[in-house]
Amino acid sequence: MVTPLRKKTLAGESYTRDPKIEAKLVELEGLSRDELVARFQIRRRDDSGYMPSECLVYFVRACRADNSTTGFDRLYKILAERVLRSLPQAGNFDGKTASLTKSNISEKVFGRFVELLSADRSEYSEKLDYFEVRFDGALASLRRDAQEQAWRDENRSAPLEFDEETGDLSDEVERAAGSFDLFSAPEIDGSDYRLRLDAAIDALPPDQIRIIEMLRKGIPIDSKEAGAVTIAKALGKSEKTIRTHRDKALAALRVTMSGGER
Amino acid sequence: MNSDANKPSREEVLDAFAVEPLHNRETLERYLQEYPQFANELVDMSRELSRVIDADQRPMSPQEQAMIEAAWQKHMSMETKSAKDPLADLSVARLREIALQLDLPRQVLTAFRERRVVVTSVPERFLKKLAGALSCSADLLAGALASQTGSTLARSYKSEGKPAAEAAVTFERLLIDAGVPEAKRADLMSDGD
Repeated sequence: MVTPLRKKTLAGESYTRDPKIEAKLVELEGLSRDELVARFQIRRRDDSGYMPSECLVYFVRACRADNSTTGFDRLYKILAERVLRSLPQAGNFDGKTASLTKSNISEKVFGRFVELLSADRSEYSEKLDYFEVRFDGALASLRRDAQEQAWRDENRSAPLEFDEETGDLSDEVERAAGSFDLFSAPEIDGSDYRLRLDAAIDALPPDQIRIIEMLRKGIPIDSKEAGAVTIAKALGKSEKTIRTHRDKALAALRVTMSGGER
Repeated sequence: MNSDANKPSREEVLDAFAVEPLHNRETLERYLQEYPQFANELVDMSRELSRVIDADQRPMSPQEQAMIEAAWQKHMSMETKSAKDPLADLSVARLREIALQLDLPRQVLTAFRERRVVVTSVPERFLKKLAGALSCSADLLAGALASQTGSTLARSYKSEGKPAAEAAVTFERLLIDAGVPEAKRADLMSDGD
């Protein structure tokens, strides 16, 4: 009774929903629109009655087959609200430019999502299947898309240049970069710290952001092993260049993070 | 075997990565190994996936409420329109984005919107790509494009054989006129399927 997904994985098989999601869909299928709306109204994720957005997307799409608008507007708006809540706020943590970028990205993503939903109403849109597989992931994909466009508009995509003049960072900066471990600072559990750190990273040049991300994931800068994944190989730069820009990034972050309120 | 036609698009690789059940080092490395040409985008995606969203319970601001309401209104009204013409409602910004996405000069897309392209000269592979960018099916797009050919032909008849500004040209001609380089043209003209 629950319609299967159509999008195929990279391996060529049909995507399937998480079994828990599938089970919830079966449970919800028999409900009336009003009952459905009531179920989806719970907002807090940590509430035991919270219904995953993957399910909500399914039912909003299923309205395609049903001409009645009863309750559809409420379901649609709940979904739209959830999308907006998942978009980064242009907070007060960073400089003006970064805030504008965030607003632009959020608007773009919301617009794109709404567009996908509308298109799906007249013709099944396989792209929406991703939202039923993993809602947060699919939304992250839209955000990344929008960010790429925003970077292009701002001309931020320029690749890493190895600066010959300041090729070797001064000892002081190296020390500063090394001694400050951003990612395990004592305040790390405070969400305010995390958001500030995220904003600070967002302000870095894209290649530096990538180096930071790969470091956080534990990927080595370089390796003696032939086939190993390394930051140098992934970004197509020398080990030295990567280290230099890592140090620059960490130094910049250190300045930003300690410059803020304590 | 592994022909070019079976190679996943950048979008498919990134979306597949985005909905992976585990977003750890192992997953990222796996994708970086298999799709090194998309390294930058994969790492960017990895960052987006690990971004902490402050999922607060703040009430929706008036602007946000307005956005939601507007989206709903458009959703209900756009239904029939988009079913007929996916190119009609494109904003200038959206047109630009799609042009960037497809790596084409904007005038190529405008030509489609203004029905200045001979539909039968467009390779199916490109139609699918364009349809994908417009979030509609290839059939829908082809139908929409074909439905207004009548008026275009009528105009070109009136010009008595001289090439009129509004006369439809072949897709290849359109690309040449738009200054699309030969290699890219060859790729666009090929029908991988």
